[in-house]
Amino acid sequence: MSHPLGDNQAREQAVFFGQVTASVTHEIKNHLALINEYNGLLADLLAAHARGRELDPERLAGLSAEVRKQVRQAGEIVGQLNRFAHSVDSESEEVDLGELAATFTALSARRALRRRMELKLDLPATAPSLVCQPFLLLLACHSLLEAVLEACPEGASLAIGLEGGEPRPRLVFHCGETDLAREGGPPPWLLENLNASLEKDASGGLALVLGPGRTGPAQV
Amino acid sequence: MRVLLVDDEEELVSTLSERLELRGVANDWTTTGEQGLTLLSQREYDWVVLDMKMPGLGGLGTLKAIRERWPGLRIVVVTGHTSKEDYDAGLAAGADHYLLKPVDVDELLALMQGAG
Repeated sequence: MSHPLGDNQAREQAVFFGQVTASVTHEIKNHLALINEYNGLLADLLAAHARGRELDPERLAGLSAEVRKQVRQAGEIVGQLNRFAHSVDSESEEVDLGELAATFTALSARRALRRRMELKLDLPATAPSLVCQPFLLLLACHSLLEAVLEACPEGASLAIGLEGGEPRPRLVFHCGETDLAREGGPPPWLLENLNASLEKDASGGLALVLGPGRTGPAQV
Repeated sequence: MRVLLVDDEEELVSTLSERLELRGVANDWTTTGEQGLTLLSQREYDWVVLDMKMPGLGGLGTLKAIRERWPGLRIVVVTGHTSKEDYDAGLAAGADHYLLKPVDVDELLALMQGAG
């Protein structure tokens, strides 16, 4: 049975889903591994105490705090993965672009970190919303990020800004002084599906111009 | 025995360091291959435990650089991925042993002590 969007497009979506899932589950594994290590260290400290070594309450409190931190971080990324998984639920819905940008940034942080890059998200006080297929919008953001990561020097800071200008909201990617070229990024079929375009920003960034949207929170 | 631990995941490598120390194994740790090479040039080590997935010079780049400059040094490469490519690349570049992350501290210790 052929996919309504065509085999290549269906494959692109499946690959994206797989990449995100692989990356996030790897991240969750890291949190679990750390919790396991802290548990191991705690057992080691107790064993050393049994052999006469003094037990440092501050060290124990520190380990407890580390475990809490790992559980919280793992919980947050699981929440974002859950939102991502639900992004395929409907063909079209009103999407809060602030929430979507936050989900995208959280899911992409590890990918950027592999290139020693930090993603910084800048959201307006009131995020615009847009009626679209959220999974495809996430895919477009992902494709653009891939192109931007390729263009940016390792270690650079990458800013993602959401601008809610009427009538078309924009997601703008800036990478320090790097003048980002309009190469790569979301394929034409995806931009067409989202009624979006890719534009150069006046300050050297790349903007995914969406639209038309509406200002204000999504009416869910 | 002195061990150098190289892993970009600071919380993981610092915990492993503390656990080795509690077992009486002297060690130093760093989060980049570049710093690892600097430490190796400053001090004598018996073993290097090296993460394969690191930014910058990376695990493989660091491994090759170590093998060029310190051919006799014993190296355990570790990775969080059960990737055959990583395994093959690590061993081809001269690693002595290969372990999956998270490293079991007692398994690592047994490996190093067993190797003599």
